[in-house]
Amino acid sequence: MKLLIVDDEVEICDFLKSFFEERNYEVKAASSGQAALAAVEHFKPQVILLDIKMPVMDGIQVLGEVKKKYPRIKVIMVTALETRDKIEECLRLGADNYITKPLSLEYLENDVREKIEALSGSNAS
Amino acid sequence: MVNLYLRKRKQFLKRTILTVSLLILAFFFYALFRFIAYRFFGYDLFASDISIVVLSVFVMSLLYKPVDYFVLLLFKEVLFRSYLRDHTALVQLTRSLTKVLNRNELANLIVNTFGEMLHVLVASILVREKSKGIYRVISAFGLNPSAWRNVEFSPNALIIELLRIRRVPLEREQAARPLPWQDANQLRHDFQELHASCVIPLIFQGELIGSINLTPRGAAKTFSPQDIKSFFEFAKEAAAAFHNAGLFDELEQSIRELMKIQSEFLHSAQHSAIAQLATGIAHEIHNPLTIISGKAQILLLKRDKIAYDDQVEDVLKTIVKQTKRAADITRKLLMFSESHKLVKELIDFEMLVNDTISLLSYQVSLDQIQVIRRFEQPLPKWLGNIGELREAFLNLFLNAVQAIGTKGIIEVEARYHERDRVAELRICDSGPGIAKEDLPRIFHPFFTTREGASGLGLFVTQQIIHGYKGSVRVENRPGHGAAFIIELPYRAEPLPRAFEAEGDSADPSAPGDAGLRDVQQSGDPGSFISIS
Repeated sequence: MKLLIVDDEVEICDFLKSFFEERNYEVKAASSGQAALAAVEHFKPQVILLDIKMPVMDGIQVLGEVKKKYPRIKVIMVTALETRDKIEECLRLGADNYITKPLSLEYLENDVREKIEALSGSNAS
Repeated sequence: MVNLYLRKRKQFLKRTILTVSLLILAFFFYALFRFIAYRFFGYDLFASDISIVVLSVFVMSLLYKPVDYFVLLLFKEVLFRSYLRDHTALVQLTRSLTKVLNRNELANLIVNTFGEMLHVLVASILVREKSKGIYRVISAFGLNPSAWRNVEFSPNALIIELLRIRRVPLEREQAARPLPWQDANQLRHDFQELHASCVIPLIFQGELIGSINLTPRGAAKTFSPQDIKSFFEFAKEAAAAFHNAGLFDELEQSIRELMKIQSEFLHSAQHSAIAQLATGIAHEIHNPLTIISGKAQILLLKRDKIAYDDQVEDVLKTIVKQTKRAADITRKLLMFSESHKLVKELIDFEMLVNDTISLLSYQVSLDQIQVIRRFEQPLPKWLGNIGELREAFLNLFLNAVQAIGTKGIIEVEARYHERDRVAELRICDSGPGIAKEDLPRIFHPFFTTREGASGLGLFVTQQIIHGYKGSVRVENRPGHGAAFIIELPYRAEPLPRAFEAEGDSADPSAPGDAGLRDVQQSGDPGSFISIS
C-alpha cells in the first residue's frame, strides 16, 4: 500500500503521513509539484493525495502529467476550496475523487483503502 | 344608439323635404302650364284628371334627380356646422399631440378621437418599425384587436409604395381604377386588410413614417374632399409628433439598455470580488483548520487504545465540529459568488432557504431578529441554478433584515400549489413597510432608499426570477411591514449532462459531511437560529 501525499503545507503532510503510517501504509510526502513528479518516478505510489493550490506547479498540472504517464495511479484531489470550474477540470483530467479541507480522516482513509483494493482487485483478475 | 336615431331622423327629414319640394314644383308647373295654355291658347289644358296625373308623373320623374341633389346640397350646408365641429376637434387634437411622447399612446389618442369625435367607423394607424423595416398597425378604433394586431406591410407592398410615391391621401376606388387589374386587386386587398376606404399618409421630412386609415360611418362610401383635405392637414402635424415619439422611444430604449448593462457590470464586478475574497480566505483559513481538525481527529481515533475522560473527548469533538463550521462559511460565500455560472441542478428549496439564512445568522442574532420558517410539505425539488436562486432569496432576506433594523420578526413561508404547479415563497418582515410612491419603483435598477446601497438587490432578484418565468411582487401588509412574494412555475426536466453523473463526488461538501456525521450529532450549523 503505497501512498504519496502532496501539499505545500508541511504540517499537513506531516500529520497525514503519521496518520497513514500508523495504519501500515508506505507513505512519502512531497511539498511541491516538481518534487511530487520526481517521487512518482522512483516511488511508484498506488494512490496520490494531491493539493491543488501550490506555488510554481499546481495540482492540476501535476494531475495532468501523472494521468498521462501512469493512468493507473489513483489521484484524490485534496484542496481548501475551489470554484466549480476547477472541480470540473480535475474530473475531466481523470481525478478519482475530490475532497475538501478540513478533512475527515476516517472518510479519507476509507477512500484510500477502497482505491487500493480496487487496484489490487483488477491486478488479480 | 343616439347617433343611429339622429341619422334616421335626418333621413326622414331629407325625404320629407324632397317630397314637399317635388309637390310644390309639380304644383308650380301645373299652374304654369295651365296659365300658359289658358292665356295664350284659350284652352283649358287640364280639364281632365288623366292629363293632370300624366303631367305630374312626367314632371316628378324628370325633376327627381336634380331636386334630390339640391336637397342633398342643402343638407351638406346643414352638415356644414358639423364639419366645423369636426374641424375644431381636429385642431384640439393637433394641439394635444405635442404633449404625448409615447408612440402607442399617441396612436390611441388619434384613433379614439377620430372614432368618437369625428364619427368615423374604423380608424387605425400604421407606423413604420425602424428596427424591423416593416409597417405595422399599432392601434385601431372600431376593430377587434385580433383584426389588426398582426397586420403588417413590407416597405415594397403596393399600398406603401403608392403612398410613398404620390404623397397624397389615397381613396380606395379612385386609386385602384387606373391600375392594371392585378395591381388593382392587390391594392383593394391591402385596403381590405386595413379595413379602410381611405388612407392618409404620415410624411415627415420626405419620409413615409406611417398612415392613418379611415372608413366613414353610414351609407357614404367615402369622405368628402373637404374632410380628406383637413385630415391630410392634420396628418402632417401628426407625422411630426410620431417622429418625435419615435425618437423618444429610441432614447428611452437605449437608456434602459444602458442601465441594464451598467447594473449587470456592477453585479458581475461585485461577484468576482466576492469570489476572489472567498477563495483567498479559503486558502488562508482552510489549511490551518485542516491541521487543527486533523490532529484532533487523530487523537479521537486513538480513543480505543488510550482511554480519555469524557471531558477530553468532548473537547476534541467540539474542535472538529467547530473547525468544520468555520470552513462552511467560506464555502457558502464561494457558492454565492458562483451564481453566474449557469449549471442547473435539482434544488431542495428548504435547504436553500436554510443555507441562506445561516449565512446571515450572525447579523440576524445581533439585530435581535426572530426568523420563523414555515415549509408546507411536500415541496418538490426544483430544477435551477442554485447560486442564482440563492442570490434571489438572499437579496429578499437581506432586504427584510435591513427594513427591520433592530428587533423584529421575519417570516419565511414556502408552499407548493399542486394545481397550478407553482411554488410560492413569501418573505414577510415587521419593518415599516414601503412608501406608497416607492411601490412602483422598488424593482427599478439603482432605486434605493438606503444610503450607501447599490439599489441592485431587488432588481437582480427580479431578473433572476423572470429568468425562471416566475414573478416577484411586493405588497404592504395590513398591520405592519412588507411582504415579498415569489412565484415560480415548477420545472424538473432531467438533465442530459455528463456532469450530473459525477455530481456526488463533485459536490465539494458531500464527502466531508459523510465522514463527520458521527462526531457531529447535535445538528448542523445551519439550524441554530431557527428561532433566535
